Order: sequence, then C-alpha cells, then structure tokens
Amino acid sequence: MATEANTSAPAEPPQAPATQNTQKETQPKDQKAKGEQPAKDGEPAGEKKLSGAEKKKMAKEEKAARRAQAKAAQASQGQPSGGQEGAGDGGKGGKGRPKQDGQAGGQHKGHHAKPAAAAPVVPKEVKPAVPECFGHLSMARRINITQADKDVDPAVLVLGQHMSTFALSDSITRLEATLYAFKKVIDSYTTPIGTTFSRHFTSHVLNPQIDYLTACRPMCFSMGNAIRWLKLQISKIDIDLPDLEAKKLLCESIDNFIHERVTLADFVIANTAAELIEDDQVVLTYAHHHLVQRALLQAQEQGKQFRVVLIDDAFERVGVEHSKTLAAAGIPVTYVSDLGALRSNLRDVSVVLVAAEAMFSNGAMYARSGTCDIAMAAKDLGIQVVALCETINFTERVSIDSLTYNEIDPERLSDVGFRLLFDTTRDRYISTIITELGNASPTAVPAILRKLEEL
Amino acid sequence: MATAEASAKELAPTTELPIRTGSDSADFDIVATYHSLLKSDPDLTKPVAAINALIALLNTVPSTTVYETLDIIKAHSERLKASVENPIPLAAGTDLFNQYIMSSLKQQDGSFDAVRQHLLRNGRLFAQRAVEARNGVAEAGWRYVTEGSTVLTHGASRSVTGLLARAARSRPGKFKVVYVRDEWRPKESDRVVGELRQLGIPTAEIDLATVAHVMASLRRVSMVIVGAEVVTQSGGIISRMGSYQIAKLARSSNIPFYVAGETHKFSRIFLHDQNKLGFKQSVLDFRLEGSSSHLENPVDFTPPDLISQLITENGVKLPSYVVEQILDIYGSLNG
Repeated sequence: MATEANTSAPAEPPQAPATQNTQKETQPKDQKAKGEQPAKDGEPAGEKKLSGAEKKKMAKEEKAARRAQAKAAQASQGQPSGGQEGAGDGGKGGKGRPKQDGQAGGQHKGHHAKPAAAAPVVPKEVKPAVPECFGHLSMARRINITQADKDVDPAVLVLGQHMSTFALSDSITRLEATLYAFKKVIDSYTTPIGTTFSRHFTSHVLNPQIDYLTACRPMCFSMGNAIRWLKLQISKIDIDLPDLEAKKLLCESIDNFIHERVTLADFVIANTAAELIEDDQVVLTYAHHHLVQRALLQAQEQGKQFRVVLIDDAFERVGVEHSKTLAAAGIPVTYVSDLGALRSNLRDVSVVLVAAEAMFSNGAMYARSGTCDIAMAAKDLGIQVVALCETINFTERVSIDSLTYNEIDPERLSDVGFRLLFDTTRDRYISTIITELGNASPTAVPAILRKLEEL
Repeated sequence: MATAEASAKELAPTTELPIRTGSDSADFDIVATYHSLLKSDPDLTKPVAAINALIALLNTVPSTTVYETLDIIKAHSERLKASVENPIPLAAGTDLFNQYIMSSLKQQDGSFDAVRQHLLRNGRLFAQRAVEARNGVAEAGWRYVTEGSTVLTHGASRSVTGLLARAARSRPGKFKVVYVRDEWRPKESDRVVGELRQLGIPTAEIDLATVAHVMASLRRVSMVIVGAEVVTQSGGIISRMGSYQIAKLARSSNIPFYVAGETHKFSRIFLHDQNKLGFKQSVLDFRLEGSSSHLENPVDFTPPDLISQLITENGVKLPSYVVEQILDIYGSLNG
C-alpha cells in the first residue's frame, strides 16, 4: 500500500504547532453538552477565549482581511458554499456528494492554498508538498475560529476544531458529534418572518455549518449519509407547522436516528462479534476501534478464554491504551508495535477482527491505513478476516484502490513525504462483515444498501 | 399469563377450552409426522417436509389466539430441530413457515383465522410448489449441459437428477455423466447411476479419490453440478460431505462448479468457515484400536467463492443472489 510518498517541493509542515495546542483538549462529548460555551473548553487555543459577542466584534474588524483569505482558501479547496451545498443536498449529482468528491473538483489549484490556509498567520508562499497526482486527496486543516463564517454556530465551531485536530477521529464518533451539534443549531434557530422553516433553514443555516465542518476535515461517508437524511427530514416538514413544533420534531428524529443507527447498531455489532469469538482462539486486531474493544470486552465478560494479538498503528499509538484496557479486563494481550513480522504474528491467529471506517458498494472496506496489509496476509494464510461496520457507514460508491478516496495525514505532511490515513481492502480479503443487520459477506453490501433505501 | 386471559376471551365463541389446546398440541408428535412425511413422499425435501409437518400441527391445534399458536409452532419447531442431527435444512423450512405466517398476518390485518384456514386448505400447496420449483430448476439449468459435455456430480440430489433428465430429453445421448460414488452408501449410488443410465445418459462411476485425476485429465470434465441441503445466506452451500473437496478440485482445474437448488433451501444461517456448521458434527474419532465411528449423514460447507453459479427456479444466479432474497423475505440478515 502506498501510504508514504516522497515529494520534491520543499514546504513547511504547517500543522504541527497549531495542532499540539488543542490536542489536550477535553473529551468531545462533554464539549457538545456545553457546546454553547466553546470558549471555556477551548482555553488552550488562545482565540477561543473570546465570548460570542467579542468574537463577532473582532470578526467584523478583521472582516476585509479575513474574507480575502478565506475566499482564497475556499476557492482553492473546491468547496465554496455553492459546491458544498450539494454535499448533502440529496446527492443526486456527482459533484455535490459529500467530502472527498468536492475536493476532487478543485484538485488542480488545491494544494497551493491548502498549506497557506492551514497556517494563515504565515503570509509567505508555501510550495506544495503533495505532488499533483495526489492533489485530489484532501486533508484536515486547522481553521482559525475567527476565519469561520459568522453563521457558524458555536457548538459547530468547537466541533470543527475537534475534527481538525483529530480529537474526534473515527467516523461514528464524528457522526454522533455532528448530529448533536446540529441539534443545538436547530434549537437556537428562529425562522425569520416571511419564510418557512423547511425552506430557510437548510440553505441559510445548515449549509454554512456543513461547509465549515468540511473545511475543517473532509466529511466521512457516514456524515454524508446522515446529512442527506437530515436534509430530507427538513424538507418533509410541513410549512404550516409552528417553529417550536418543527424543531421539536426534528430533534426527536435526530435522537431516534442516533439511537437506531449508532447506539443500537453498536450494541448489536459488539454482541454479534463477541459471539464469534470462541474459547482458545487467538484474535488479532489492529490499532484501536471502540467497536472492536467493546466486542472483545464483551466476549471476556461472557467468560470466553481467548488471547488477543494487538498490532498497533506505528504512526498513531492508539493501541497502547487499548491493550491496557484489554489487559485490565483480564484478556491476555500481545502488543506488537507495528506491522513488522506480520506473518509470524499471524501464525497462531484464528480470526482477525478489524473495524471499518466505511464500506464501498463493491464490498471494499475503507479503514485505517495498514488494515489492508493485515487482511491480505491473513487471507493468504487462510485466517478469516472479520470487519465490523455500522450500516450508516455504507456508501453506494465504488472503490478498488486506496487512492480514489483518502485523506492526507496533516501531521505527517512534510517537504519530503506524506502519509495517507486510510486504505481500501478489496472484498476478496474480507471473509465477513458484521453489521447491525447481522453477519454478511462483503458481496452483500449492495443488497444491504438497497434494503436500507427501502426502510 | 396475559396470553391465557387473552385466549380465554378469544375462545368464548368457539367453545373450546384452553386446557384442551395444551393437551392436544402436546399429544401431537411433530417428529414422527416429519419422518413419516419424508418417508411417504420421496419427492419431499427436508424444508418442505418440515413445513408440512407444521401445517399438520396447525390442524390439530384448535383456533386460539395468534400468539399462543405462534408459541406452539415455535415450540414444535424447536423440538423438531432438536430431534435431528443436522437441523439446518429443516430450520430453513420452519423459518420460512414462521415468516409466512407473520407476513400473511400483516396482510390480513391480523385476522389469524383467515390465515389459518388458508394454510389448512392449501396444505398441499407447499409440497406442490416444491415439486414445481424443482422442475423450474431443471428448466433453468438444462441448457448449461451442452452437447458433448461431461458433467461430474455426486450425491443423490433430486434437483440434479431432474436437471440431467431434462437435459437428456432435449439432448439425448449428447452428454455424459461422471458419478462420484459414496462408498458408505452403495445402494444409493447404485440407484442414482441406474436412474441416469435409464435416462440414456452414458454414466461412468468413480470414487472420490479419483476426482482430481479425472478433472486434471484435460477436457474430461466440463462442469460439476451438485445439489445442496441448504444454501447459506452468503451463497455457500451445506451439502453432502465431499462437495467442498470437489469444489476445491474444480476450482484448481478451472472447472465451473454449479449448484442446483430450489429457493426454499435458502437459509438465513451464516457460516464463517468449516468449523462452525451450526450444529455438532465430530468427524474425527481418534483411536488406538478398533475402527473409527462413521457418521450417518456427514455434511460440509462449500464457501461461495468456490461456487460459479446457483441454478434456481428463478434462473441461474450468482451466489450473492441469496442475500438479496433473504433480505426480501426476512428483512434482516440473520436471527
């Protein structure tokens, strides 16, 4: 898998300093709870201290400068509000589809402004670090809060910061957080006189939030799916319905959506995966994913005697905590720091348990970079590979390689190389996918998608 | 106890006492009914026999509440499943029956009596449809047996013999069959071979050990067609022991491997690998002296990636067709 590539042009790693500031921020969920006071949580990052009013004032003062800069950044990203509107708009056209696609449109001018926008304080011209052929790939960027559109809700502002710094990283957590933030947005909205909720809200209020979030980090497939769903719900609202009722209705359906597609789904998936594990088995897993962790802990609770081999992501040591948690629960864990000696680590393994970021309709799995290597090696050795994935992560798109859809790791973008965050595992390397609907083979993805459309 | 109250209310007009319900359905021997059905009609497959047994059960149960009846059906299904070594084929039937009742209840606005009457009146319909389905399989698949081809098969699947008979009618003497004998069932093998020869199909008998040799001899075998006890949700099959082996050999010789099976054999069961067949089957019997015990009806699992196509009465389909059907019928993948 080509996850590392050399580049010729020199450039500064624009992300590093900014990112470190916010990485120690508190956990996302609490934030959303008090989403109205982002300033408090955001303390470490200086700008966030400002209250809403101050911010507005300041924003006004900086308007001219900011505008010019933001415009340049947005245009170059291929995501001016016009383009983004399509992002969830029902997704009929190819262009408007969520996240990465939007970027693809602007690929040619893309990387010139990307680093500039990421480090807006540095006015000097930064040369692209990503070669032209990878120009379509997007990257999370830190966007100064003062640079954001004035319509962006404080809750969404904070959320955007979290996403750009990867405090919220996996697709389901981001989805959940986004929906909660949107609930806040809906809550604080009042329909202006002379228009109606269903006609005004999406285009004037929701879309700026989505644009901002996408600018912070390209949307994941589940967010695209959920936003499309949300916009459909909004468009269905009766125009005669009073604001209060409409908002209540919408918030309720968001709650139900999260409950069904995330909470219950996770519960079912963890259960099903735990059932799969048998006594005396050796389960291999990669890095950390909450679904896998939950499944393993559940199997342990059921009194199953098994062993875990945990291979960590060498670039992101999320597995350390994971292995500690598992060990604390009494599961024997072998910690392997990277993909080295993969085959010998796989030798005794009975099942590989990984979680997917998304599933493509051709049965390919989009997951943390490195998953594909493990799946291929495992399949080669006749070990079954089980992928855990909520159906909200299923996308009707098709991918056969790791380059059509991907993201550049903003922390590992230097003048000499960069890293991709994900890879794509073809269906033939996956034995089973576990969704909330049950076990299925990867070839069942299109059938499941069709079923979901009916529901 | 809520059901008891409800049933009492329901029962008032029918003059049936609830106590009789229990004793009647308890008296009914579903296992014996199932086996006698299987014996009486050689055309019946296991899922259809299970469905018919359940209909016979409905016959003995007086009309009570929906839930009580569903409970009775469930209890008897479980009893039936527990009574056989490999419950998967008949589970496909009982699942289908349950689903049928549920969906007809929805259609009939919950009028359980109408559903019940309909079922009782059309009890034979299931069996009849099953036979029709088998003919459908033959119709859908016989053209695959092209002139001059040689078909390798094993087991005693009625779908396969039906298909070959259909092909023999249109292309008499134009194709040959290699039949893999089952050394544990010489009588059955003799019967199938006899039937095939009777149909005018030149048939060669080999044993399982010869399969690889025959397949590797270039152009000796043009395709494999086998039957299945159950087609799993992923499109794999649970079938007579040896099918997996033949499928693997066929794959390594690039010979297409077809499965002839009616759609009522589609099951919601999902198998991860050979280890978990959904029931216990101990093939290995290690001993120092004496001979190992032999299983009565051993089966194995052929994963979908070794199967070229499924020949069903709805046409010739890819293995992934099964999951679409399952989702259509049950609305969920398993359980």
